[in-house]
Amino acid sequence: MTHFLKSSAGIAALSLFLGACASAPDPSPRLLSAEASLQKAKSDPVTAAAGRTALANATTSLRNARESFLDRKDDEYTHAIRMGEGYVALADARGKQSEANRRIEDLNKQRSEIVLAARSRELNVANAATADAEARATASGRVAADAVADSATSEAARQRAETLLAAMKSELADYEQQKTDLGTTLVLRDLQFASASDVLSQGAQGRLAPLASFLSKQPATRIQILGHTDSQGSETYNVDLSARRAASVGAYLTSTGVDAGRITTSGRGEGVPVATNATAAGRAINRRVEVTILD
Amino acid sequence: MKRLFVAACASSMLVLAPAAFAQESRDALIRTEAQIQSLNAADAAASAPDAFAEAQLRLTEAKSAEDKNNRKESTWRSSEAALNVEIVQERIKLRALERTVSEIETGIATLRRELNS
Repeated sequence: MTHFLKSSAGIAALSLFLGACASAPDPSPRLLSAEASLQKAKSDPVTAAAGRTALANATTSLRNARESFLDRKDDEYTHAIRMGEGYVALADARGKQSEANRRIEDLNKQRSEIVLAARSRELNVANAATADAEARATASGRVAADAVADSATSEAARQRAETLLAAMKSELADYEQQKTDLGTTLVLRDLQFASASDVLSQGAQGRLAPLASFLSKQPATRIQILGHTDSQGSETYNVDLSARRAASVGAYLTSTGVDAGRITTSGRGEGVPVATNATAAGRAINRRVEVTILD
Repeated sequence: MKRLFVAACASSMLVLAPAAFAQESRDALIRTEAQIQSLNAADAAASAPDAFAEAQLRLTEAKSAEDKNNRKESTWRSSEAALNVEIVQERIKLRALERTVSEIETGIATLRRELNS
């Protein structure tokens, strides 16, 4: 009897336990998964903001699904879980749209900055090119101005040379003229000095008068005076004598008003003969003073 | 007289309520079908193939329930189909936005290359 009672009590307890299990079944994996998705979506700030309405609907639907599941209302459960899952998916899509829109905004900003940088660089390149062109133009203008100035200088020099040549032709026609590398050389063979002296005779001064006159009219002209002797006498003596005679000619010209700074003098002695020293006629040709009007 | 009037009203409600419910489920079905037809099938299939298929399946089920005069099930399936249509629409928009992001990123990469060249 006791055994029967114990067995009956055990069966009853088992029945109660099984009954309790049957009345409160565990939620299905699908429901748990949907609820987890809902929580995940709610915890994402972007999805929570962009899909607020959908998440609210999902919450209601999944609550209904849980109740229907517990009440074993299969049709209601199926509908509610589908709606719950759908609303979570909708919220997720709207959240992703919001993210994409934010990304587009950022990218557009980046693109604008890059375009601005590119334009700024183009502008700098253009400015540099302009500055370069301006510098070239300025340099070119300077070259042109220099060329004009040079041309004017050349023209003035040409005119001066022509004037000088004309004056030489007219005023120095009485002198024997030779064209040399340094300019035009007047060869004065007939200048009279006192014997073995550097003192110019009165006649010699008269002979130099046209030259003095010419030099007074051409204040920019410089001259070189070289004295030469024949071969009679020692070489040293002749060099000294020729130098003194050249200096005498220079001194005379200075005395007429020609600036001494325009005159250089030198003696060559017998070193540069232009005729034979073996004859009197030849020696007369070699005794000379050469005045070179420098170019 | 008063009792007669109340009885008449109650009878009318009993007769009209199922008819109104039937009209509602049919309207929902028609509306959902129109929504599905308005989708660009290629875009829908490319952007949200699962939701698009789900929407079509639920619509078929709704039609079947409607044919069997199962108004409640018809309404549920229609609303499920409509929700999936909405998901498809949002995913089509999302795909377009993602394409725009990709295009802008490519454009920026090209610009950067040109700028650095």
